[in-house]
Amino acid sequence: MNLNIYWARIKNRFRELWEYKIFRIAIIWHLIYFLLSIVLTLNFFRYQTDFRVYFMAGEVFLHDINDLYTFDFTCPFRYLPISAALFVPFFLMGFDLGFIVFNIFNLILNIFICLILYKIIILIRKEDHEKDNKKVIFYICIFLIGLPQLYNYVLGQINLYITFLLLVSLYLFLVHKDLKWDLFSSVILGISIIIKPSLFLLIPFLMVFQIDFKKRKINFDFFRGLIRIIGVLAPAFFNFIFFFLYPPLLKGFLDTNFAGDNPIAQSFSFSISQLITNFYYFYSIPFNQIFILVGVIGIIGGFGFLIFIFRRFEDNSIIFSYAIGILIMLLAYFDSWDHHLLNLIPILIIIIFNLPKHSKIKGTITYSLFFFSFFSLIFSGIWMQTFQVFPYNFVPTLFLLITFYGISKYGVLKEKQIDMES
Amino acid sequence: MRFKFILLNFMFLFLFLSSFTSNVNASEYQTGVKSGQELVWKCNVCNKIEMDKIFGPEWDDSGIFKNLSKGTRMKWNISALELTETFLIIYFSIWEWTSENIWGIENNDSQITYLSNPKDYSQVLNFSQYSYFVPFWFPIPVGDYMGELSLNEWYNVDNRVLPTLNVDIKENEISPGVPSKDIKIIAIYNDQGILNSYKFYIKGNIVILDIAFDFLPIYVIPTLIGLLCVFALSILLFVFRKRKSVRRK
Repeated sequence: MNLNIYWARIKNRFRELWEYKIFRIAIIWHLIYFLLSIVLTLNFFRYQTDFRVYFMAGEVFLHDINDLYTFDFTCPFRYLPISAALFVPFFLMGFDLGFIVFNIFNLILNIFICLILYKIIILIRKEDHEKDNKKVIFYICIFLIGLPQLYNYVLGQINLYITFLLLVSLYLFLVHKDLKWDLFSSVILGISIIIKPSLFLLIPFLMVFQIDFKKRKINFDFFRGLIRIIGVLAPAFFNFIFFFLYPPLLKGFLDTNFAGDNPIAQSFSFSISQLITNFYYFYSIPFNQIFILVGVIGIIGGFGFLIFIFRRFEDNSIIFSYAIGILIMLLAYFDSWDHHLLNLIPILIIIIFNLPKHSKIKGTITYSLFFFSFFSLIFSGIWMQTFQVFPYNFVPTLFLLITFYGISKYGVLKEKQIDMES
Repeated sequence: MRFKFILLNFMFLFLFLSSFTSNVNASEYQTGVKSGQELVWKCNVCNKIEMDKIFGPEWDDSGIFKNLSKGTRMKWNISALELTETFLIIYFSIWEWTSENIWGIENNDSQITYLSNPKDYSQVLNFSQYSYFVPFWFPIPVGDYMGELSLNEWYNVDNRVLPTLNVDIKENEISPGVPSKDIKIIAIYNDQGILNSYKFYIKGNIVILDIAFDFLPIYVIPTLIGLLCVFALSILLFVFRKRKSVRRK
C-alpha cells in the first residue's frame, strides 16, 4: 500500500516536471546519449574504452589477482584492488551485456544524483533566489545534457558512482552536525575513493580548521577533524588486506601510480601537470613526473589550503571544501579528462545557489559551468587535430583556474562583502 | 499518454540498436596506406654514443637505422598492397636516412606482412626482429589491431588517447649485454597505422632517439590559427567589457 502511494507520488511529480520544456529536452537528450553510447562503443570504440579495462580487471581479479597491475590492459589499471571486485559481475555477463548493464546503472545513478542535487540546493539556497524551482530544474537539466555525460557513457566510466557518493556525503554533512554522522559521511566519501581515487586530494579539506585574523582566533576542532579523516581513510585500509594477502599487488600498485622515472606520452588531459609533461615530451626534454606532480600539488594545493584555513565564513563551508579539493585534483593530477567534470559540475551548481543571486562570483562560476558542460570536450577534439604542432589543451585549464579563483574569492571575502558586490 | 508513447519508442529503439550492435563486433582490418603513397620520417634526436653503448657499434650498419643521424630523413614509397583473407601485406621501396634534399634512386625494396586477424598469431609476439622494436606500420583500426595482438611482457598497448605502443626492456633481456641499459620506447601511430612518433628513452627519461612522421595534415595549421585567434579575441573582448564596466561605475 505504502509503495503504491510512493509510486503515485513519483508519477505525479514526474508529470509536473514534464510540463517544463527544459526537462523534456533533458530527458530525451539524455536518453539519446545513453543509446548513442551503446551504439558507438559496441561498434567502434570497444578497444578504446575505459570499460574494457574495468572489464578485464574484473577477469584478472577473478582468475589471477596478482596480475592486476602487470596485466596488459589497453591502458594501465591504477585504482585500488577492491575497485576491481566491483567489475567482476560485469565480466561474468560478457563485454556487450556487461557494458549495457553497466550503463543502465549509470543511468539510474544519474536519476539519484539529480534527486540528491535537488535536495542539497533546496537546503542551501540563499534567500534572495527565486522561491519557485524553475532555475533549480534548469541547472539540473544542464547537468543531464552536458557533453561530459555522453563521454562518460561512451567510455563506460565510473564517475557517476563517485558523484553520487560525493553528493550523499555532502548532503549528510550539511544536514547532520553530530560526530556519528560526520563519521558516516566520511566513510561514504572514503568508499568513493576506493572505487576511484579522484577525490583523494579532498581529504585535507575535511579538517575543521580556520584562522580568524580579525578576531585573532583559531578554530580547530581536532577531534571532529580526526573522526572525518579516520572515516574517509577507513574504507581504503581494506585494500591492505589484499596487499597483505597478495604482496605483488602492493608493488604493482606503487609502480603503476608512483613510478616517477616512467616517461608519459602526450595527451589532451587538461591538468597543469599534463600540460607541463606535454611540453617536455614534445621537445624531448628529460623529466620526472613525480617532481612535476609534487610541484604542482605543492603550489595549487598549498594555495588552496591557505584559502581554506583563512576563509572568512563557516556557514556551509563544507561545500567550499569539496569544491576546492576537486579543483586541486583536476588541476594537479595528470589524468584530468572531460568525464571527470561530472564530479565538479554538481558542486558548481550548488555554489551558484549558495551565492547571492547577483554576485559577480556567481557569474564566473556560471560561465565555467556552461563551458565545462558544452565546450570543454570540443577543445579535446581540437587537440586531436593540432597536437602535432601544439600539444596543449589549455583552454579547459584556464577555466579551471578561473573557477579556482572565483571559489577562492568566495572563500576569503566575507559574506557581507559578497552581498555588497552583488 | 504522450510520455508513454515516447518511452515506448525509446524502448523499441533501444532493443533495435542492441540487436544490431552484437552482430558487428569483429573488425575487418585494412592497410590504411595507399599504393603510391610516400611516407617520410625525420630524425629529430640521435645520440649515437648512447646507442653504441646500448647495442654495440653495429646498430646502424644495416636495417632501418642504417645511416641514421640527427636531421636526416627516410622515405618509403608504397608500391603495392595485398589483402587476402589471411594476410595483409604492403610492399615498399626504401630511401635510407639521408640529409640530402633530393632523394635519388631507392636503396632497397621490402615488405611488411601481418595476419588479417591478429588473434591468429599462434605465438606471443615481440618485434625484436626489428632493431627498433616496434613496427613502422600497423593495419587499421590500429588501436583495435594492437589491442588484439598477444604481445610479450615488454609491450604495453595504451589506446586511451592516441594508439600507443609502450616498450620496456630491461638490461640484458634480449641477450647478455643487450641492451646494456634499461630502455623504454613510446611509439605513437596515426589513424593510417603509420608510426607518427618514436621516442627511445634511457634512465632519467633521456631521449636518445626521436623519429617523427614528417607530414602535417592540411587542417592542422588553420585549426591552430583559428583556436589562437578565438582565444585572443575572447581575451580582448573580456578586457574591453571589463574596462567599459569600470568606466560606467
